[in-house]
Amino acid sequence: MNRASTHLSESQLGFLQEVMECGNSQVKPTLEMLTAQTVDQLSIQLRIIPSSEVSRYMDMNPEPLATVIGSMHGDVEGMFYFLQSKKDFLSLGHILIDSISSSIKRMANEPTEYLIPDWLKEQRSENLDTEELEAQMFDAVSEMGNVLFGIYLTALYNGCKLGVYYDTPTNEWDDQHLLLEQALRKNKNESNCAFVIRVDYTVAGENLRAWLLMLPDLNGLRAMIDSR
Amino acid sequence: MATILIADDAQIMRNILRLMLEKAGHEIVGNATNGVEALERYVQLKPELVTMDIHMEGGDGMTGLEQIVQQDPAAKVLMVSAVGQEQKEEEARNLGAVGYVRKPFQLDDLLEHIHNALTG
Repeated sequence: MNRASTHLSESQLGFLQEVMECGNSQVKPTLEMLTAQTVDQLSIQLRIIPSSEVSRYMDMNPEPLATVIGSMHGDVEGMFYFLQSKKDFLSLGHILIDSISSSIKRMANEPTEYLIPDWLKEQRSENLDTEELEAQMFDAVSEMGNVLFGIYLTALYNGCKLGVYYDTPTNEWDDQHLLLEQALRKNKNESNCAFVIRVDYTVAGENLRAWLLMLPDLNGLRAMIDSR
Repeated sequence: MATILIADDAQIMRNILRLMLEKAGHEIVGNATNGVEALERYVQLKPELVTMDIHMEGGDGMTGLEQIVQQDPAAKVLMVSAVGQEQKEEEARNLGAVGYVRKPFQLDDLLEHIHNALTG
C-alpha cells in the first residue's frame, strides 16, 4: 500500500479494512445459496490501495471481463464493480443456471430426473440457445454481485453507520478493460482510494476467482474515516 | 400452506425461493420481476403473501410494497433483499412490510420469517 497516494494513515487504513472485512463471513453463504453447493477452499483478500495500483494488483489476463456495475448513493457516492474473467464467468454461469437441478439430482442415489419440475427443466443450460444462455448467465451472476454488494455495504453501515444504497446493477462485457480503466482514472481524481476484494473459491470442482471493487468519492471516504 | 407471489428480477432467486417454498408445502401462484408487475399480479392473484426484492429494474420493491399496501391494507409483504441496513428495514416496516429477510438466507430462517408473516 502506498500511504502517500491514498493519503490515509496506517491506523485509518486498518480501521477501514476491519470494517469492510466484517462482510467476509457472508461471502461463503452467498456463494452456497446461489450455487446450491458446498464451496470449498474459500480465500478472501481485501486491500485498500490507490486507484492507480489496481490494474497491476489485479493482474487480469487480457481477455474480456464480465462486469456487474452498481452506482452507490447516500452517505458515500461512487461505483461498485463485480468482475470476472470471461473463462470464470462462463464456468460460474453454467453452475448457477443448473445449480438447483444439480442439487435435486444429488439428493438421491437413484435417478432423480423425475423430481425436477418441468418449469426448471426448461431453464437448464442445455435447453437454452446461445443468446438466452448468456442472458441467463449474466442475470445469475448479476444477482451474485447484487448480494455481495449488499454484504459489504451492510458492513460499511454497521461499522461506520453510513447509509449507502445502490441502483439495480447493470452488466456489460468489458472487452479491453476500458470500462475498468475509465472508472479507475475517475476515482484517481476523486478519493484515489480503491477497496479491492479478491475472492478465490472452489465450487463443483472448478477453481474460480472474482473481484469486488468499491470506488468511493472523496466525501464518502472522509465520512468513513470520520466515523471512527 | 399459503399462496405466495414471488417478486424478484433475478430468475435464479425466483427459482431458489420457489423450490424452498414449494418444498415447505406452499403454493407459488405467480412471479413478478419488478414492483409495478408485483402490484398487477397481486390484484390479479390475491396471494396470501408476497416476497418482494428491493432492487428491481422497472419498479423497485419499496414502491411496490407501498402500492400493494395502499391497494390492500391487509396485504402481507415480506421483503427479501440483499440490502441489510437497519435503516432500510425500518423504512420497509413503516411502509407496511410484515417482515424482512436478508440475503443470503438459510431455508430455516426463510421459513420462520414466512411463518411469522402469515401468523403475525
